[in-house]
Amino acid sequence: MKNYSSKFKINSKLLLIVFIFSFFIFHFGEANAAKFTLSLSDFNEIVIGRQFKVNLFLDSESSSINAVEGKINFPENIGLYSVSDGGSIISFWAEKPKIGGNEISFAGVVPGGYNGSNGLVFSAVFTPKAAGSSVIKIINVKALLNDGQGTPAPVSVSNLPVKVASYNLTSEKLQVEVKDSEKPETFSLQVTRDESMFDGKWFLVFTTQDKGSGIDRYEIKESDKKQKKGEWKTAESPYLLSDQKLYSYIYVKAVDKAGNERVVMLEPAFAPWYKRPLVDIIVGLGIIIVVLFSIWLWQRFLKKKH
Amino acid sequence: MKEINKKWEIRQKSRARNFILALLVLVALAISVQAQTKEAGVSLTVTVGSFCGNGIVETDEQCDGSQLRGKSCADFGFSEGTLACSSACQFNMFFCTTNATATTTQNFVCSYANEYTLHDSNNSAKIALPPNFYNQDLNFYAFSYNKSVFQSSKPPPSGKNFIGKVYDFSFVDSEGDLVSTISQAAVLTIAYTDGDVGGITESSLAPYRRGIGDTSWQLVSGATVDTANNTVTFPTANFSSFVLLGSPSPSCGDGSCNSSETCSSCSTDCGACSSSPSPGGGGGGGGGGGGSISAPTPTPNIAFSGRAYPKSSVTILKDAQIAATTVADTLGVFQASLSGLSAGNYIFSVYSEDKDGIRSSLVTFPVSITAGAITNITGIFIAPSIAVNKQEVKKGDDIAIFGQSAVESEVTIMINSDETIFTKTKADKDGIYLHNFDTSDLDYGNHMAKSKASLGGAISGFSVGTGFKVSDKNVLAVKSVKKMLRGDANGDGKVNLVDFSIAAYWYKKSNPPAKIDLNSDGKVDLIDFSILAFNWTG
Repeated sequence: MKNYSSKFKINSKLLLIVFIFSFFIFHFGEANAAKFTLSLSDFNEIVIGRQFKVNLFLDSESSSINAVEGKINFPENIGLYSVSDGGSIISFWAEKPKIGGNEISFAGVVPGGYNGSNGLVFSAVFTPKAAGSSVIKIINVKALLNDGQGTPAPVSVSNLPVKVASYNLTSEKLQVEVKDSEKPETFSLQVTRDESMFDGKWFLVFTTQDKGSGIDRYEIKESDKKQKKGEWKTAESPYLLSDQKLYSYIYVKAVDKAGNERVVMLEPAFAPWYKRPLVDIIVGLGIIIVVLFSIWLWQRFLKKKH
Repeated sequence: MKEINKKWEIRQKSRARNFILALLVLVALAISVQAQTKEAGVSLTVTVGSFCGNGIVETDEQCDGSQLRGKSCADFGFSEGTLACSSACQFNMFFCTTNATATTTQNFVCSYANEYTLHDSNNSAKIALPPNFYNQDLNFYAFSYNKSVFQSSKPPPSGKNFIGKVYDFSFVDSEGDLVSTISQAAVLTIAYTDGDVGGITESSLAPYRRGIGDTSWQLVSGATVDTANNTVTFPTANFSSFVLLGSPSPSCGDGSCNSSETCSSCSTDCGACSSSPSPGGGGGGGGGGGGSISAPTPTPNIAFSGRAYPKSSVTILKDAQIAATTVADTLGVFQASLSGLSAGNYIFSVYSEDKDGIRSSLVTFPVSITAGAITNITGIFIAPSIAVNKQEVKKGDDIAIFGQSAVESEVTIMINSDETIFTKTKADKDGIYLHNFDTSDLDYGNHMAKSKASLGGAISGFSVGTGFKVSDKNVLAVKSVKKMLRGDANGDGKVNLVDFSIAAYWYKKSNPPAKIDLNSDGKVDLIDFSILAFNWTG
């Protein structure tokens, strides 16, 4: 509780020196510039028909980065086969890496920030179609500092030159193997609503990760019974629920790129009137009363008869 | 012979009388010396060395140095490892190991109702304790194991099967001794999955207990089995091992996999189900999805330890989702571990909340988990919490800058202004710090205060900033916990996946609601996500 009297100020001369020093550092040393790098996952020669994998890495250069977005532009002589976020540092995607023409666009966040030199953002598998030299480029990229203000960090990029050779491939493996026998990570489901979306109706939020091959898709099923059987439909979070009365069991299946599945279930939030315990008791009592009354009537009828 | 015995008896009686007399004389002498020294104003103190670190276990100490009072890791439910003694003379289980698939240590305060749920994959066990459950605070140690662990050491009775996970629960008091019975019964709720009761008559489920001295499982009476929600709830005041036992259904468990049985309906006969690729999976052409199943991968573990605020809750996020919570001890030291993680890259974050519910900044670190290896993350130092008593302060008046940090740490407060001002104070034995800052030297306008702590050579990062304005009047600050977190779109006091989902819905759309447009620029873009990510609570 003691107040130490060690208060001191940084005077203006010192600040000027720091400013000049920082200016030189930023302009000539490029310190604290988040760096995005494209690199090949192996050293095999790139040949027509044989797939190759490219990783996009983030080096935060000692700063803490909590949001990134950008695009990867690839030449026409290599076709994009698939994109995977398996093992990514990105916790949540505002825009999951998706293909549009010759570009993959992405935007995601790392709550709390990423401070490291070799953070995988995502991977892409390409199939070379024609021989020639070209470059896979990183464009329109942004990285924001984890400072509560969304301050942009200076960014540098390292593109990937690609030289596709033309060989006759025979027995070699042509496809990038997906080695993953583990299910996606376990996850939870949350039903919520907000007046600003889906007209204030109930919706479901969910997400998970797969450390191996990455999440391929989510499937969802709403059922009035506790059973996994039935029709599943592909869905994304946030998902507008069909059963707005919330009487249904909600099942969500996360499927990774290797086909491993994890299914999680959420119990109904409410029970329909005919499933409520009080209704059961009233119906039960009603049946007992009707039965007793019928017995009484029958006995009365028999007495009269005799 | 009788005479000899009589003489011997007389001699013994005389010896006892002499001993009591000598004792009385000694007590009388002690009282008289004390009275005399008091009268003379002299205080005579003989110090035998009563302090932590003298190698003698004394009052309020669980251990001292290598003196562990014969305790080992096994006394606290761990399977092996080395029990250590901390610098505060408390047992330190950090080097104890366990083959449990989930474990936790919680400090339950006896004057409150306490509740904790231990999650292990899709299974869980919840303990609910009423207020005054014991005459002192107790540490609760919980371990969840795969049922195979108990199968040989504590086998189920004939005709019964273990259902789901099996658990070891124990309480330890402030002396470090095991408390097997508490004053008021706790309520345990053990949750199982549909898969756990494949081939089992669900209505036959019942909880069983096995104490340290027991040679068989004992039925716990008063249980409620909720087959709709897959839970079994029961009261117990005795603590030890707990399991759910159930009877195999007539056709299942007979040793042969009949035509009507499958791996999911009767894993006992047909074996455990293996995951198989779904038809038309995205990776079909990639050579994967071949459906071959590898042997179970060894389960990696990760352990965290560090300093937070005394008796504060510490939350651990795994890839931004809450993975564990624990409570720091009276010195602010915390330990936690996670099990059952797949090998791969993770982002772990740790934060704490002080006694007023003010949240610390996140300490985040990327970790690559290797199969079969234990990763230890040590030396985590949570930044201090910080708050001010005025949101607007009259120039020249004092503003109180306060918060909580590690016990007796040195706290450096930084006030951002045209000139950056640093000042120092010290946290007390409860980790609380307070500095009355004279605003005479500050310019009019907005300012930001941050703090960081140092202790024993370790330095924390800076806290989140708290703002105030220097003007011509004083306006008291709103209590920080009631302030709405930026990014908390649904107003539930948390910034998590729900808020992210609302923001993602409005990403790049026109006319977003103000609660999502965090920088008020008329759109939801990466900057809004960055602000939301900064305030993340999970």
